Amino acid sequence: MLELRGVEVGYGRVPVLKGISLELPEGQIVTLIGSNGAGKTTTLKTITGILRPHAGTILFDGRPINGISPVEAVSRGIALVPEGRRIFASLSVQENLRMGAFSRADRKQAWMRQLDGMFELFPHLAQRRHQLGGTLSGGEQQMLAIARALMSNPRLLLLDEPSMGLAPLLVEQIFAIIRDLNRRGATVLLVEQNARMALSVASVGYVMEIGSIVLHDTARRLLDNPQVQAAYLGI
Amino acid sequence: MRPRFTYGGELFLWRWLRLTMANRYVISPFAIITMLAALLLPLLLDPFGFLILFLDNILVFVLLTLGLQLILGYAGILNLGHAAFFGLGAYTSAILTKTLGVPFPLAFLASTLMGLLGGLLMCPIIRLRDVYFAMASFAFGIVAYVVFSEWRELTNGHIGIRAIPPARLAGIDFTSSLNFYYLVLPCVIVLYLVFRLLLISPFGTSLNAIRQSELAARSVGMHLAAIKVKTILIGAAAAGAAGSLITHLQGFVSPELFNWPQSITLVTMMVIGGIGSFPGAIIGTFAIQFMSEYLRFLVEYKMLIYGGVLVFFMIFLPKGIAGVVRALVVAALERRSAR
Amino acid sequence: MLLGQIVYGLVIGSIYSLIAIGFSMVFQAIGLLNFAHQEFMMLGGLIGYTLAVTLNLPAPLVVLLAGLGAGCIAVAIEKVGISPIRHRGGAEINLIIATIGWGIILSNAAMLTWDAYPLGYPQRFQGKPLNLGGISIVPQNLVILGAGILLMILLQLFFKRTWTGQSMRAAAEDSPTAALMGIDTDRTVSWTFFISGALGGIAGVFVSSIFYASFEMGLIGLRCFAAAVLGGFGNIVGAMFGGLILGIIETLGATYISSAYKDVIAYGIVIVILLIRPTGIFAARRTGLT
Ligand SMILES: Nc1ncnc2c1ncn2[C@@H]1O[C@H](COP(=O)(O)OP(=O)(O)O)[C@@H](O)[C@H]1O
Ligand SMILES: [Mg+2]
Repeated sequence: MLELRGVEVGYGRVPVLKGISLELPEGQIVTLIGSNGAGKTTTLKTITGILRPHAGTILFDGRPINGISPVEAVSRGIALVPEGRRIFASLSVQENLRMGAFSRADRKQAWMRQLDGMFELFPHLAQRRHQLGGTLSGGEQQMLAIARALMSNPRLLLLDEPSMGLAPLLVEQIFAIIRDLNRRGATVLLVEQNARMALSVASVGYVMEIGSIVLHDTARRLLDNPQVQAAYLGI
Repeated sequence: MRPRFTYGGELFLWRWLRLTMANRYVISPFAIITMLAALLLPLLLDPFGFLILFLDNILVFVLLTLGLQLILGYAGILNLGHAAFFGLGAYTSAILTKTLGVPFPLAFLASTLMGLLGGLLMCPIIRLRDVYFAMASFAFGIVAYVVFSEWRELTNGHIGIRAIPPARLAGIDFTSSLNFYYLVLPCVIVLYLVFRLLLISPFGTSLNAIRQSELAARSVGMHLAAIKVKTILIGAAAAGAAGSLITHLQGFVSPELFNWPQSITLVTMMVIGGIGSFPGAIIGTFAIQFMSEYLRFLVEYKMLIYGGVLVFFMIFLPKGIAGVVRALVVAALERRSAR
Repeated sequence: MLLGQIVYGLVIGSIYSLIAIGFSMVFQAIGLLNFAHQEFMMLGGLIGYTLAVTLNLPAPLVVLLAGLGAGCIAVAIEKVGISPIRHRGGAEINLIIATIGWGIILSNAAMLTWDAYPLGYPQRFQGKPLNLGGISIVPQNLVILGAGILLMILLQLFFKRTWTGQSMRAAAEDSPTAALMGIDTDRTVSWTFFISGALGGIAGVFVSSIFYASFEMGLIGLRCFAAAVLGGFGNIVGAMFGGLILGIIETLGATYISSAYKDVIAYGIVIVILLIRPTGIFAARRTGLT
């Protein structure tokens, strides 16, 4: 569904991604792991059009989408749950969700229906629907960020470190949700520092180090890979 | 054979210029040429003509913009109330010399101190962040203006103070424009040299660090507030001195000269000249003053054109005239060193 | 007497509110101190004069069209001379100077178009004074107060209910994230300028119908900057109340202290508020302190 071929990106003149390639088959969870500063967020920013690649191609459904704007990306069905959640603090939970549906052509009729669906999926949010986004706890904000991305009814969901800063129990919950979403048909690209959890839900994993993909295998085999174990699993 | 004026293969003058730009020398060859030219310029002009009076006026404003450049261009403080210090100095000098008969040198010093005091008054708002400081300093300037125009017992209100005695120093009378020129020019040169010296001192190093990144400067533990306070005090004192000079140049003061549009004009001069460059401040002052004077033939279209020039610069030349010159010089230097 | 003063203060204050909201909206959306904003009010007043006198249109239509005209001019300026600077990553000071340049252009273009004389609105805008429980009130003042409050309520509904209004709030808070939702942030900025210009233009018609219209009347609007700070710059509800409070303080101050010190009061408040409560007196968001 999504394919990156030799993508190079940088901030200004500073190169960050040095020609990365990865492939994301429809209906699967693929994870991208790597230590802090490796370039994972930069990869997601490039896919969603926030950054423009200097070289290489990004194919979505076989068509190149290099240099599209974020607005175009979401209307084509790519939704990003950004690093640090980025909830609109001064908007209520419901308003945050409504904004998630902004890109849909049928938003006027569809958003309420979609909203009910989200509240079913995240009953916690239903109780808080009129509360301001800024007053939610970290876990609730992460749920809201995921729900907000789902409001656009995306075909591809990109998640940037959804477990960051959450208590272990909440992390479990978030990953259960991701697995559940995938079972309902969502294609997911999951960026994580929590490699063990990420590899346990994903089918395929990519390992990134300072701007390059250094390893790429099924999640199963990566979990057993001694290099990965030493560097990312703390074994 | 190599030319004689070289230094490690590099032409001596170029090396000098490059190191001045890197704040290693106080003064560049071009600054020296400019100063000499400025000293000799009146020989070419009609001593009773308009131009020399006009130059006197511009040089007083250069004192203001140099100080503001230190505050805005180097410490990054968006001061929209600089004319308040100017006014404080002007009224101090006017009242002291006219009402109390104090001699000019003392009044000049007192004006400088009053400017400094004005700077101290502005200090409480220094802890405000960028745009918030801009709003507060704008308000500060308006409050000062209202004091100038409404404290009638002291300032004679909107009518202002007239018939102020001319500046006298060591038996010389500075009534004539020509004489006054040689009073204000040394002030400008001294201030310029002092500021250049400041820049190569440790204080200047911290200023440059702040200009590059306030966040980084704070994270290495620089005491930002203290540095900012110092720049405001220095700039305000210079503005106070300028106020004294303008009073004696014009022979009268009235509050309109120190209202908020004046503060804005000063900022405009710096931005057109080039933020973060002392020569830029001087160029900008000349550019704006000449523009306001020599666009007069456009009559009612003058201000329209003036506004248009501001917008044009901000869109196409945001670094000002000095920015353009600097880019050209840097390109030339790079081409030379590449050879 | 006092009650009459307060009512008059509220009338002036509601006009101030309309202008202060514009200052606040633009600041909230793009962090800009818009020194051209008061000129949208001036343009509204003068456009309104032409509509009322030359075209002899009815008052409600004059208000509407003048607002529309000022709003469109605001958007044009944003597109031509503000956003291009922002997109090139221009510094704050460059943006401020650009708005100052636009302010000069607008007021001088207005002088060339409408001449330099004050232009009074026709008598039909004022109406005959009414006597309400002992207070004599010009009906025009009541209409202005009512219309001002109505506009502010409509604006709140716009921000709360509509897609565009809500997307403007989202984009003002976090523009990159709003773009991820598919919100065109260039458009929300243009909408912000349109609404702020239109409210300013309507306020201009109100001011001119009480006093007169002139190319210099922007100076009145500049004072609303103080009202915006009072309400916590960037806080729209705060700006509404800031305007009302400033109107009352000014009217009472002029009667009981001196009208000469009007600006000292207004701008003294600015400094004090920024120092002790930069979020304004109504809210607890955003801080101006380092
Ligand atoms: N806005 C930026 N400007 C310049 N460099 C950046 C910026 N954002 C990230 N970088 C640099 O790009 C590299 C990759 O960052 P990022 O993609 O955020 O890594 P990750 O998400 O894997 O932790 C880092 O070296 C970081 O310093
Ligand atoms: Mg990251």
